[in-house]
Amino acid sequence: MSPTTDVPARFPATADPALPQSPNPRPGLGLRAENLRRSYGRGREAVHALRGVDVTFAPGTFTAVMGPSGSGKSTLLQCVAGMDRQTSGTVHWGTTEITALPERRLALLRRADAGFIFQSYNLMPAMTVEQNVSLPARLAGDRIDRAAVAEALDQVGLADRRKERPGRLSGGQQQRVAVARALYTRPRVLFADEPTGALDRASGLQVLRLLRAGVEHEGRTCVMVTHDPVAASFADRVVFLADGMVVEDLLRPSAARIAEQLSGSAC
Amino acid sequence: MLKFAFAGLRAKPASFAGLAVALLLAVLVITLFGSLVVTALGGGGDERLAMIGGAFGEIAMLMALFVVANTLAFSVRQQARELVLLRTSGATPVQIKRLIRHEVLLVTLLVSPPGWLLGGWGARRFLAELVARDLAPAGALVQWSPWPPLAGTAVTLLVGVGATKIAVRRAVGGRPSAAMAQTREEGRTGWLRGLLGLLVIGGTVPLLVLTTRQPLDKAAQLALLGSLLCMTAVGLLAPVLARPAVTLLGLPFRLAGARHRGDGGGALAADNLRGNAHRLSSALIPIALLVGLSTTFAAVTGTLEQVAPPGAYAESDAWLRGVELAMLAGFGAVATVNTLVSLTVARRREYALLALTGATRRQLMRMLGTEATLTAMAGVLLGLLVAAPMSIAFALSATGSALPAVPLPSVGPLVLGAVALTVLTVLLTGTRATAQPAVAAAVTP
Repeated sequence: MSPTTDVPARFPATADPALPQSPNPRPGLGLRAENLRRSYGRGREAVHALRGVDVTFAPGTFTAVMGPSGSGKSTLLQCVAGMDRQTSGTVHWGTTEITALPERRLALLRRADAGFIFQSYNLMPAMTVEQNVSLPARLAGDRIDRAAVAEALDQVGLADRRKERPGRLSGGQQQRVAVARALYTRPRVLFADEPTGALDRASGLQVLRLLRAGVEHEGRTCVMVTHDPVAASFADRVVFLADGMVVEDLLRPSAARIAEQLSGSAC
Repeated sequence: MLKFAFAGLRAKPASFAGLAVALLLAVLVITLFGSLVVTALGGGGDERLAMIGGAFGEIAMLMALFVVANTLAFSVRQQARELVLLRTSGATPVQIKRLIRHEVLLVTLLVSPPGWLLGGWGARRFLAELVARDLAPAGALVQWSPWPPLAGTAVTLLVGVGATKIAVRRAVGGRPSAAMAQTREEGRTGWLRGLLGLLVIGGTVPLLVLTTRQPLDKAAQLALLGSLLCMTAVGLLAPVLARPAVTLLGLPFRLAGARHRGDGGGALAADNLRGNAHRLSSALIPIALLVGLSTTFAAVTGTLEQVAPPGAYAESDAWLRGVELAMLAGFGAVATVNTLVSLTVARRREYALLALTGATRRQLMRMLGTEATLTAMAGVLLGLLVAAPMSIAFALSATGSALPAVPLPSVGPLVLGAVALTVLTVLLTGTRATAQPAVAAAVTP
């Protein structure tokens, strides 16, 4: 048996033969969190969202983080993404310890290497679709590559809406603009917090396919928080959190296996 | 960043309205009183005109600083989510600061021409009134000079840029998601803020002592300065002071609520305010400012009138004081309205949630009305607290008695006006904020 048969047929493991096979200039970043703790408040009233989490996300892999609400999954994502400050523990992006960086350095690193997609409210309401997609480049002071913006919008099927403002788009369309922004900057790591949470099924699948394609074709590292077993089945690996700790770590589970794990932890 | 600032202004002009009014007022008053001083120095008036222009200008600038800082803080808070989004897209803290600075720059330039025109017109009117009251030489005319308008814009810009530093501190300090959370949740009162508040209170004590030992005119100026200092202390300590003030004032409403079961508007309001002391304190500060400074002013004026030998305290002096009082009240009113509108609009989702859980529109409005009344009363209480020490010190200096003459005919309407302004603003804004269907408001960010 060839090694490719291990991979479920729903996503092709080998790169598209039409793409050039040159080495990727921006390979995915490996992420590592060690003994990560995060508590809110002090003393007896303190809430412990994370109680010592050790987890690594290998370069070029797609990981789903799941767990019941209040399990700390969003907190984990935000701490690993450098958007929240941990109470103790460390986070590394590649060899860089981001938890030791001052805000300005971290901002520059985020700009260079990371992309974010939230459940909702991903776009600047005052800017057009096109301006939203090129926003990171403008913030970085780079020249805006109009062709690349058009290509990114074309990939998410919104080429004809580029002059529109977000207010006139549906939720699914807005989320696809957010994905286009992530495609345009070619981040080495993409963080997504319930990216399909506010979408209908068809739009959700479309977004997940786009995330998956980034991992497949560009070797991007992708970490996604979700509560939807179908969304999680797009990932290579599913990490389950409960009560601020990792309780299960499954490789390529089926949607059924994920649902089983979720209902088990809910009991 | 200038381009972003432009886009933001064009897309949401309403959220900059408060800031625009504050900046317009700043340009206006500096142009107005600057023109008077320039006219006096250029030989068009006399020493007294320069003094009047200078004294008015001084107070006006302090008030402008306060109101601009206040409105800018709210404008930044309204943009909090967009700022977080910009940061996750790679904006550095420096870029965020620059964006806000550019917004201030654009709005200042936009309001400058009307500010100059209104300031120039105000200067001519004011001088004409002064001449009519023999406070300026007959035939005195405002001399045109480019300097007052230029100074108006330049000083306003400086003030705005300075205020930016304070306003963005929260939005760029720390990690972005924490910054976003701060706008949603109740923030803690920093110990530094408390310490500063106590220090400022400590600083007013020597000023109090000094006031009692100065000649009358000096003491009057010191008293006003001192109450500004007290006001700063109250501003710093407001989050701490707000809760006990509302607990005390809300007692009758809670008792009434307990008796009429099923109504709940009053008790709900009192609980809401107590549970959100931080937000409440932002609403109290401008009301306390409005009441505190105006009352100090009225008390000082009243005491002066009482001790002055008959005839020495002319009608014209009373008129001058009246104008100054009106100016203070005007600034206070702008700050109050802006703050209350911002706070009420920001709670749109909360109202929608209440509506979805079964509150009728009438209950909502009653809750808002009670909240506004309680807030206004607490603000008045704090304002009187601000006015008391300096008014008493001034009375000691003037009459030797600790009882200042408080002219009820001017303080009464002021206090009532502050309460009415608060309640009306909240109810009108609330009516608009609850006008859209609840589901839409609860879902849209």
